[in-house]
Amino acid sequence: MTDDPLNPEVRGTGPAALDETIHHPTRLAVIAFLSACDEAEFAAVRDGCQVSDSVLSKTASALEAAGYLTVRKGYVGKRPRTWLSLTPVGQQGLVRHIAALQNIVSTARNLGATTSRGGESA
Amino acid sequence: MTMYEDNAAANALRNIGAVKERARLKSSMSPAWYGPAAAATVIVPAVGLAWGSGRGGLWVPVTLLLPFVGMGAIVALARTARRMTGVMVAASVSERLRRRWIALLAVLGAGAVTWGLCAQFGIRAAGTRVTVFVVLGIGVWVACAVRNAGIRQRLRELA
Repeated sequence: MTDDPLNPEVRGTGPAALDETIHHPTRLAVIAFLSACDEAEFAAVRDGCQVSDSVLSKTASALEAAGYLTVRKGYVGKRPRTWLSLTPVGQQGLVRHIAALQNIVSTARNLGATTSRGGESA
Repeated sequence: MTMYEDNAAANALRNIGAVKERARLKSSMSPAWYGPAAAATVIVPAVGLAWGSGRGGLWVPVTLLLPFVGMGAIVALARTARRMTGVMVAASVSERLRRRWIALLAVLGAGAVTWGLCAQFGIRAAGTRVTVFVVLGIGVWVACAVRNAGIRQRLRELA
């Protein structure tokens, strides 16, 4: 395992672990959506992540409590609006989580390649 | 590591990419009213300018102010449209122009061709200006409609 160039420990970047806070697909989708913009309106995030109002509301509350996003309430004209944005902690969490996912995929690919090479030589 | 974990990780990465793309596309979309409003904002000051030229009195300062009012209105419209998409992305003016340079060139090209045709047919300056700005306004509208249709198509593909 220590010879594996895809192992982050070998590359000296430290192990990238999956972030439990954003491991759930809905939470991950919300964080990923917000990472692509500075701020997004509640309805835009709901449509973009293809979830219901209540699911997004619960997800946003949980992520806000974890310090991953900030919720800003305001008005556009007389209509109340809720704006969501990613915090630096959330941004870092997503980066680490993506690195961990990439690590899983590349390690599996590497193992697959090694197995197939072993099969050919045998 | 199980095959399941590997597939789940690959799926999660794909979903992250798709969701980010949806956010980017939504931020580029303009509201339905933006095309006609932008067209009107381009055309109305040009018509006012043509109508007011040669008139004295109050029309002199109004004619001088009209281009600035028009430009201010365009900036305000663009800002409102960006806010109404619901997805805010900080991008500089040059970055926005770079992303839309094909549409911009097409609209300006149509304006230049119109101007050439007006000169060819001997239409007077005020008439030429109005015609060119009408073409530019309609061009902006069409460019918005085409861009929105492309974005909607892409969003449908991602769904």
